[in-house]
Amino acid sequence: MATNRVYEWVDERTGIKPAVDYVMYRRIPKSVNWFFTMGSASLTVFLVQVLSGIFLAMGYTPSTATVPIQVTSPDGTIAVVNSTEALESVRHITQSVFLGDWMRGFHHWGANAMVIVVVIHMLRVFFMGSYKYPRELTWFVGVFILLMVLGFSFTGYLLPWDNRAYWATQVGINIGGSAPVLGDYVATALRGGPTLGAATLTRFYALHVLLLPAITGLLIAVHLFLIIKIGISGQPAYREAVTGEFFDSTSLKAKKSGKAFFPYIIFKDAVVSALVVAVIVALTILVPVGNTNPVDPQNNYDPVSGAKLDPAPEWYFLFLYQFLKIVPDINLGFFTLSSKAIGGVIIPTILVAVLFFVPVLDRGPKRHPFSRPISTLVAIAILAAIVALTVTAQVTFPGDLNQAGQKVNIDKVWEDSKIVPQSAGMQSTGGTNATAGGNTGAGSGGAGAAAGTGAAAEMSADAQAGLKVFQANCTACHAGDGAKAGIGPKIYGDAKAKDETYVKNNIRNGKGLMPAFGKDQISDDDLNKVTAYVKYVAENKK
Amino acid sequence: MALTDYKPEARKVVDLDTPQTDPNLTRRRFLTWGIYGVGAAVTVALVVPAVGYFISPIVSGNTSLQVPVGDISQFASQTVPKQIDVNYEYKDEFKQVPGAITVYVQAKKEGASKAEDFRVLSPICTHLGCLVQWKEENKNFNCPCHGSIFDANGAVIKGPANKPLNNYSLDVKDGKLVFNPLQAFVL
Repeated sequence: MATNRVYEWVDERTGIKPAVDYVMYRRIPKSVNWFFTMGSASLTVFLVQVLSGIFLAMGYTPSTATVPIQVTSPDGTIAVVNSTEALESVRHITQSVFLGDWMRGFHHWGANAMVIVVVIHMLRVFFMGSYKYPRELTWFVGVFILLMVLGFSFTGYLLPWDNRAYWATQVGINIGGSAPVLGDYVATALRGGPTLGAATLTRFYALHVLLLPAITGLLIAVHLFLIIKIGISGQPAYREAVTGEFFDSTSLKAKKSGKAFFPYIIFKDAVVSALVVAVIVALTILVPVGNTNPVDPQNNYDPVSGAKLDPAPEWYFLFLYQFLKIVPDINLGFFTLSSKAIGGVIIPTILVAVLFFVPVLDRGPKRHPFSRPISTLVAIAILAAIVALTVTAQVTFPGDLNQAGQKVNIDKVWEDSKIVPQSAGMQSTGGTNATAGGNTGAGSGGAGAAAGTGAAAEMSADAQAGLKVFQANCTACHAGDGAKAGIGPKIYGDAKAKDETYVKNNIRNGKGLMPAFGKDQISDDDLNKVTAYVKYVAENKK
Repeated sequence: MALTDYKPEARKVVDLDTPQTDPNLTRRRFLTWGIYGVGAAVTVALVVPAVGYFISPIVSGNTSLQVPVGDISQFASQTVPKQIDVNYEYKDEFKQVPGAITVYVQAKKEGASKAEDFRVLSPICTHLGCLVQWKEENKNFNCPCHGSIFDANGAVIKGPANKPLNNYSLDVKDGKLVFNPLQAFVL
């Protein structure tokens, strides 16, 4: 077979065959069950993240430069708000690039799956005492990989640069900033300045796509090397105690009676990994990933959803969010430790340190969870507390509310809303202050106009209403609200479309492939409006 | 090899080049320390500038900006906090970008006319930096994140925040109250 000949050719020059055989046909204890598949499932999810991440990076722009956009909410109102290149590039990937929504979905749901799979993996290792001699180093490296996962989710969350990402990161960095002594310096270095801005985005981008993957890749390599070198622990027997002699005899036993990794063990791994991938793909198809409104440092009721963003974190950080509400300040006499430093930095650091040093703290030879009741009970208590805090947060946090106090899913509304990038020179209202109502604005607003040619006229109210009519009837053929050619020609900049009579005639009577639209489809009033819109884009757009 | 067979002394590198009788091993020692020295020098030369680049924002300080909140006469008898939305432009890295903030202006006394007679409260919660919201019905500021409450003057009514809301430094210019919306506060 050709592949065999290629393999032999490579082996002759590298001597790789014995190493491959060692890895693939090493004997694994028979007691290995389905719980032992979570490590390889994490590796699979990591590969999903690498793959989707590479393609997302091809379309993403880590820039806070202003892009004015025109948005239509589901009830039809139109507003112009300032978005950014970062958010619009993410939206472009998700809504316009072929299979871009798939890449985004893979990456988003992969990130969620990663947290779940890694935590189950760690719980399996903990409760089966697999971190004990001689696997302590494997555990240490594993805890670092867990920290990398959290680092990925913190830095990746900011990249879409929408309002939710902005406020989550605001709080996240300030939690780090509340650490005694060095906190403020760490926060400033992470932000790249005193406030969240362009430098924060580029810093987080570099960490997310360059530094963290490099470190994580190395850690995974070491983790896997140790697993292959030492072997799989298998399920603990009730009175079993791991000593040097015991380890030697069990590994010898496994060598004699165990099953070959390929194909017996890897089959289970493959099944579970395939299931995890299937869940990620299913979620990608069923639950589109949306974005909220563009960053709004005033966090107003946003003009599209009518709701105000509730800055709560992702579900897996909700326990910390809730914890921060209930921890008190502690007065040490000479120094007061703030509740945020205790709840956000000191206790989490202690927990991570305890987790890291588990193999040092629990050096007893017994592996079975019932043979070491103290560590088992402590772990269950901590888990129960995390679950309780998460549930409390989930039921008590208000969510994104509109002015009437009703819950609105901002991400969903923006996902459904129609978004049109504005050409440069289109007048924009500064920020999203369209809803600021009643307060005197000051300073220089209208930044969107600064970059443009200044030649374009403001869209009239009729033309704005006409856009709605256009979107309801015409965009199937005149794509992108007339900006692009579809089945019908492009209308932007079309000299003939400036003639109102010509346009009205074509709408009422049809022309070529274009069907006629009767009064039952477009009323006379709507006809005037849509003609105003067509005239506007024909005159003012290219 | 089983782990219990592990004997570190068995792994010592046997140096075939150096006669075992040489008591000083000077050439060998020189080369060893040379390798460490060169390695350390290269590392320092690369890592120190990289770390300096990363932490430079710590010493870069505030961007100075003077943005008007409004005519001073307008607030002369504004003894309850008045919400003002301020829009401005600033240079973020190399680009001009729009900025926006909501502040609360209050005259400390009736007929205020000097900068120090006024207070402009930052809406940024001193707990973890969410935006507090003025609740007209209770006459206090609520934070939506972790539930802190501040009174009209910015003092803490209920934690977890333990510091009052910050006041911007103020100035008067051409009859207008001006402040720096980029003034950074340690939370």
